[in-house]
Amino acid sequence: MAKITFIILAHENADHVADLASLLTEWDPHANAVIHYDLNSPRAQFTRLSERTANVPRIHLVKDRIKCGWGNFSLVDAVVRALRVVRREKINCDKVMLISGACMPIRPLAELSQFLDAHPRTEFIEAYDSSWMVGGLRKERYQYWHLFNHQKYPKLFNWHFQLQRIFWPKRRFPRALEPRFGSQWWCLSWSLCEKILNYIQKHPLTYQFFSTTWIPDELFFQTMAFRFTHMDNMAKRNLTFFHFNDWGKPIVLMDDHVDLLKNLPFFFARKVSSSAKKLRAHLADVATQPAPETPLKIDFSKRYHFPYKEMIAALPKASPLTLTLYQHHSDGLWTKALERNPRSFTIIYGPPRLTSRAADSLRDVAGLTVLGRVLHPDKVDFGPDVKSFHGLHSDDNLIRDFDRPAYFVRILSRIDNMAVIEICPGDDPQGEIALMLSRNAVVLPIMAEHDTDVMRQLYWTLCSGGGAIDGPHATPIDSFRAMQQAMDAKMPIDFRIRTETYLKAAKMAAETDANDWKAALRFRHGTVATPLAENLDTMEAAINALTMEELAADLPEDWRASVSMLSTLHARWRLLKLNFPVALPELFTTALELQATARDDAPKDLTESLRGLDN
Amino acid sequence: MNLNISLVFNQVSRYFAMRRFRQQLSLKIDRTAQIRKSDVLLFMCLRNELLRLPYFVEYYRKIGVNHFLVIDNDSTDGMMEWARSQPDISVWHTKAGYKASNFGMEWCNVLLKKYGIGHLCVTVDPDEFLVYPCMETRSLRELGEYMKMEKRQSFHTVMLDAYSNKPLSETIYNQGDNPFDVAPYFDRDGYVQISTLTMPTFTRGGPRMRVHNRHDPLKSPALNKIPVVWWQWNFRYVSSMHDLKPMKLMRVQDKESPAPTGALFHFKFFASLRDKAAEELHRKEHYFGGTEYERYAKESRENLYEEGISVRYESTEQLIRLGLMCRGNWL
Repeated sequence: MAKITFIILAHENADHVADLASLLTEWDPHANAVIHYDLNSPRAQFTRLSERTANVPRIHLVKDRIKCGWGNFSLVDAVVRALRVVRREKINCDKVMLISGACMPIRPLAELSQFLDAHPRTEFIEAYDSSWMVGGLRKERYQYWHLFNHQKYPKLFNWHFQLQRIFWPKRRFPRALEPRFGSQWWCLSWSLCEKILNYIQKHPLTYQFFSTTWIPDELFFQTMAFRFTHMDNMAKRNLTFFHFNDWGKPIVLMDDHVDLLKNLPFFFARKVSSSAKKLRAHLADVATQPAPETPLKIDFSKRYHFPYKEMIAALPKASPLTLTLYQHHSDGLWTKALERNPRSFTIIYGPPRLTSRAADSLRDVAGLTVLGRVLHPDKVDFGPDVKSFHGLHSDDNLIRDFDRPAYFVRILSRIDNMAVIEICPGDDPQGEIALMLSRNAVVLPIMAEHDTDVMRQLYWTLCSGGGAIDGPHATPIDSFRAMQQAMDAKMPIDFRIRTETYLKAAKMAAETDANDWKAALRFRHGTVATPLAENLDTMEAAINALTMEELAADLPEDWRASVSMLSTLHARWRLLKLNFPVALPELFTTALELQATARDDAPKDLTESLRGLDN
Repeated sequence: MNLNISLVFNQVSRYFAMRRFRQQLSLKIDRTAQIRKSDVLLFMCLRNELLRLPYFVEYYRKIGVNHFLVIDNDSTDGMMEWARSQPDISVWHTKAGYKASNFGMEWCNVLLKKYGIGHLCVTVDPDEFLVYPCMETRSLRELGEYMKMEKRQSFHTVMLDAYSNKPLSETIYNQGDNPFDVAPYFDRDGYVQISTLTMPTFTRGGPRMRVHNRHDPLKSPALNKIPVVWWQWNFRYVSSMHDLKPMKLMRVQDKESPAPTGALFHFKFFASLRDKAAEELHRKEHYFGGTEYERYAKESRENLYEEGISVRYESTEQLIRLGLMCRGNWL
């Protein structure tokens, strides 16, 4: 059995420290504990600790205590004082283990003893060169004088350091030593500790050198151990588990971390939260158990990698179907609301009469949830005669208009399969662009087969007609003019041009072969798009079956008369088979500008060429 | 220059206002000597809420509140006698107007400034129950330490209005009941968060928007609250717990890691609301002259439960999955 002495650097609640010390000493008659209690802590706490440890033979308190502070030399000095106590009290030990008051054993202490017996000559201390530090000051820790505490006086610390960097020469490390860095917590043999104590006695000035370095507790003992130990006997890691997060603070262990600690290849863990009573009780229970049959195999030839990033990634998170409060604001922006959404949906884009007919033809198809025109200005249309849809109501339009993208995402989050949504040009100009360009969307624009002026007029009449009320007009031309005015008021000309350009581009980009299109849909959306792809012909047949009278049924009476004049027109509609989102409308505006400039140039060329003819 | 004068004038007038509000409070039950340096303190202002208090106090004690600092706005239900029997409650009494003190916030500010500096301070109403990530296994102080480690001073929450699946008049709460059993449902989505100049996370939604304000959703009440703060001398609640100054406390800062956020269960929709509404209607000491209470006095048959939106509260992880709160990187 290894004779272990634990040095405990503590500043916490006295009862916790006393409990820990008695836990560490009671399991073995050769175990000792030396406690250095921080002078900064309340006096009453120290009195309490003294009372509790007064009559316990194997718990020793350091009498000449000092005030400890993070990154200060005091943390080295406190340990040295504790080592001196070990020497003065003639404690019989062969291993010394440095832990903090917030540490707890996570394996049976008997197993620790067994483990140390198996490796009698190994010193468990990290001693790396300056690449051990992740960032911040490295060699600068000892090259410059650090007189101010970073915690207390951060600005003074920085100014002092920067001034030195400019005006002051670098210090040299003590000649006989090589700087080594590593974690503060270690387990060394008593013979090595004695060597260190002797060295301090012999070279007090070298010891003083460390008092003006930054974070000497990660430097002094590591350097010393490296000085006195053969490389083969140096373990590359220590026996206390800790992990610093991105801000250089140790992660705090709480009641629900029992599973995390279960299989860690360490004997101690830091730092246990002061209010984690259950965890403390559990670990105290574990510590007193006998050593297990199969001893723990620790690979101390390399550093231990704790999968912190993976654990953070595995924490419970909000489903991507919803916008997390305080994390993702939609801010009324469609792209922001849609960017995390993983669901595919279908958009039928065109005049409401046609889209509703196309949607109706899909209502019985399995694997599709066919809604209506959800961005309708006066209601939320979930389909004909659907009043409520999973808690959303068709008269929710004011709530929807409060934040349309968020409401749209709410609708999608209620649907497991492919949603089919109708959109009429002009329902939400901003939203249309975002939805057309969304990677989640299967966009099916409806367009006249022959892109003529009359068909375009009919298209916009159907789009802007619904609900527009118009008095009777004397002549057809009056009626037509009123129609144009209503259309202009509802949909400005630049919006119509943009949409027409979009449709033209879509027509050019659209797939002509149905099988290719199906393959492309599967490539993007997987099998959810299959029922839609199978039924494209049904939809096209349904919209082409509409007669002109049926088309004009929703329009105001006056308009209906005008439109019915077109009854002999050969009006055929197509659903464009788009594979990928059609390029940005911004590009089309530049294309339009190019066209305009070309038109300006044209007569010039013409006159020149005519002049050439003359000559 | 004008700005400077007004800044100075504001400071001076605030000083006198604070002094006036301080004088309105008289300490009736003084256990403040018990407060230790590391304690978590809870501040609240109440009137005739003895019905809820026993469970409320028990709940917050369980999650790690060490001392309750209560402002009693002239209760008549024997709250003072009850508080005398509790080991960790200090009570201040006042008869002054609730509305004049900015709905009790100024009194809380006085106490927060006097006792709260350097403490983790919870400021809630007696019908609000704080829920934060990993609440089942971790105490409020551990949350506070994590906040401190990440250099966060404020903890943002969204208020979730809880209701039952029965009409309001049949949702009866008796003293000592667990309100999470009486009114276990809340809205799983439909919370709209926008950022405005004065309130970077202005949140509205829940049943009070879905049912009560459906014809004018912009008027529905704000649901964002900042109830947990590491208090400093220059902090101040402006209007209820929605608005905390200075401005940096209102912003959710997630530069290095996402900010942990929580939820505040609001148990308002009990049958007793009707009686309270009648009284408050008489007093007219609430927002907009208590128009909200006018509604409640009229409509007690209504049912806030809606299939598809309402879900039963199960655990904190459920709220995280629904996107209503966030665990951040709190391992």
